[in-house]
Amino acid sequence: MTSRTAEGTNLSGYHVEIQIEKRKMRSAFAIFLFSMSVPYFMIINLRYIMIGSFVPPALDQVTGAIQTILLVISLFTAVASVRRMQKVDGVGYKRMIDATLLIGGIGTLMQVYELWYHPMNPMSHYGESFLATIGLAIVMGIIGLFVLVAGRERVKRVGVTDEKQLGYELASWFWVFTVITWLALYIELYLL
Amino acid sequence: MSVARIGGAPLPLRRKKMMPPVIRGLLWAGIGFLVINCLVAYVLDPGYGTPFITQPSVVFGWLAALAGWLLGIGGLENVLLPAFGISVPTVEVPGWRRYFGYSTNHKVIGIQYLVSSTAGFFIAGLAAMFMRIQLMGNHMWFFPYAGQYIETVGIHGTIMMFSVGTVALVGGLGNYVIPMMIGSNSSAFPRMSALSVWFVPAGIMTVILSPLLGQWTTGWRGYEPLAQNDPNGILFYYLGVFALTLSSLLVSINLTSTILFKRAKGLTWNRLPMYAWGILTVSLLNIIWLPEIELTFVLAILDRVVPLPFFTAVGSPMTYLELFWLFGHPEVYIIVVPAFAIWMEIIPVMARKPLFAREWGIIGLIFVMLLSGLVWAHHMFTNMRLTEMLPFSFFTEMISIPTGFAYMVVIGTIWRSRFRLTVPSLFVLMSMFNFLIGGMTGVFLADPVINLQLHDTFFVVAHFHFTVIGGMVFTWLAAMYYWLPKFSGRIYNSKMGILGAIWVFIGFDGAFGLMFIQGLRGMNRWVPVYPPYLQGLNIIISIFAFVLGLGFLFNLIHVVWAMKSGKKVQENPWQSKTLEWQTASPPEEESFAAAPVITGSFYDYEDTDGTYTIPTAPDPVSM
Repeated sequence: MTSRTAEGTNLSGYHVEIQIEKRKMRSAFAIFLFSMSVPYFMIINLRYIMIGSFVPPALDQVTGAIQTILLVISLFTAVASVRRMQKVDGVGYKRMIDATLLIGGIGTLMQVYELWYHPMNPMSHYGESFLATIGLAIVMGIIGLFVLVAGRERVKRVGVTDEKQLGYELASWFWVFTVITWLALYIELYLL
Repeated sequence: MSVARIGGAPLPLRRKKMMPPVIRGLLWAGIGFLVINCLVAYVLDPGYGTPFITQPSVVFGWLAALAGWLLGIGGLENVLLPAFGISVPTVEVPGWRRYFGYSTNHKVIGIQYLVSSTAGFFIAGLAAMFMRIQLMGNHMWFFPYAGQYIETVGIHGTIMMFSVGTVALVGGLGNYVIPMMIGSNSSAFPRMSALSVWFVPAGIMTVILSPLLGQWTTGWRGYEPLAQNDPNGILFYYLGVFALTLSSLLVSINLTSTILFKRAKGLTWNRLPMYAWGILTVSLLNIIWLPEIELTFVLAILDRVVPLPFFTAVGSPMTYLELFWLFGHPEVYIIVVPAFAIWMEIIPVMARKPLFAREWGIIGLIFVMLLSGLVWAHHMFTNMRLTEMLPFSFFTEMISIPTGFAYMVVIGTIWRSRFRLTVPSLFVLMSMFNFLIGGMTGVFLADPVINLQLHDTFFVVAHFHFTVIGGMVFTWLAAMYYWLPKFSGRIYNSKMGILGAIWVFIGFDGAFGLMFIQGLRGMNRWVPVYPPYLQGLNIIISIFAFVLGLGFLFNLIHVVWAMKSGKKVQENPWQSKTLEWQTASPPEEESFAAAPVITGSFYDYEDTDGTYTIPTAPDPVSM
């Protein structure tokens, strides 16, 4: 960690403190995401321990592909919401979050559909891996959507200032994390 | 919240009187459980004959109860509603009541963790006493059924490992001491810690209540597919441990961020206190391995509730064992690494001498952390080929080398020093002696030939108790006596402290030293009934165990008495140089009136120059 003082910059002490706070938040968030990636790493490994690279022909590839495309689109809207927030544009942020909630919500609902109407026997090794993996993605997705809703409501009530925009950004980045991890799970479950 | 106006002047905000948080949390937890359990059991997924409790209903009911508990304790007003932009005026209650609610003060949170851990320690200790009563006879006499004995063993181990071993030195002392030690007035994420602490009582209660769902005979490891043979108590084991590990995970993220970003100006890595290094390394272990075991337990719950066949006889039973021990052995180091760091914190203060080979002490902590992930399979030697055993045997023996660095640092510091034999330093020396026995017998057990002979005998029980109680609990006591003047501004009675130390040392070494012999004589674990030739020694072990239990109780009473009525002392009675001692004892709400600036080493006791300065006016902020 480099060290410099406020005296060496044009920033006031107050702004330096804000910068430190943001750096702290970003780093803690990175640590949190690193920690949260461990279960994904595990469950991907578990699938190959249990069943190797077998993919059943009965798997609903169309639904899987559509939900993944929707989630990828929601990733872009989430990133767009971050950009809006960095410009301290609360209205734009809310609009992009609405789009993310809509598209991401539909994608997550399709995952729930896949979980409910799975075409394979849960007592098979692929079936158990599929259900546990998609279940993990759904739980994390629901948490991600919940966090986005919180950000949306908060920006409506509290508004946004330059100093207090990072929380909104991190809410969107968490959704990006859930989508990227789903991409890894999709490739593992449906393709490889 | 609306504010009534009369003639344009705002009236003072009227705050709704809040029920005591613990009572409200319990009430909401009960309501949450009832509502969701009934919804699942009677509406969404009714079982045959519509029983009140089903496997899915109790899992979802528990989740609702946990949410109700956390919201009721203060999470609603302080976390959930503010996240949605709804501000609710809250007042932190003063006095003793603040310890029974949501508080963002890291010192209050530290005490809350310590009290929870202590309660867990004595509950689990009581279970151990029941076990020893049973083992005094060579037939079923205290417990009517063998399963009840084994379940008691499981509850004992689970609460000890996950609410005491993992929590006391990290969530408890870590939360209290670390921010002050690095010159900060708060931890990085106080609201997160304020909530995470309340997972601990929830987790302990869940494990204690597990017999309501039926017995489980897997011990603290929750082994599948063994658990499949039992009724449903194992569900509360998995859920309880999930809550406890989640608490430790949140603490670790918070303390890591605190050490990285809240250090005082001048507190470079080179000057970071040893305990902060210990917390940093153990937090990294937690951040990696706790999510791993949490997902394992989720999969085990799915195995039972859905059901899925992951770890059943038609699945891969060995996979559960491997996933468990991948976490299980780092867990041992999660427990003892902070203890090593505390040895290196207390001894230079008592020796009045610079910490010997400080860098090697830090390297030791880091390499113990790294190697701890490479030794896990030595718990499964009975299921492996010899060629598979050898690498794990090698790494297990190798880990003794960085562990030895902690000994080197402490002994080198004591060497030719003006050593003060106080109660904290006595406990540290006892802890080192006991952990040495635990560590050396661990080297024996790392050898496949010996391991296969001694696997699942009382030799192993003695070994890990020497590492966990010997290493961690004795150090916990050392730390409690050392920081007691910081907590309370008062000090213990020396004679009573030394008596307490000798008492637990005799009780502990008597009980667990004899267990080595009992193991070598062929006594297996998990067995409440054994051949008559083992009974004599078992009676003696039980007597020592009762002595030990009373000794711990004596130390608890003494510490509590000293905090309340002990002799008042000056603010820094040990003349320590670390920052937490430069604050008032007990500390004020804000530990430091102005940010301190670090200019030297905390361990250089031959240096007469100042180690720090505390400016009267705030300094430029470092970043």
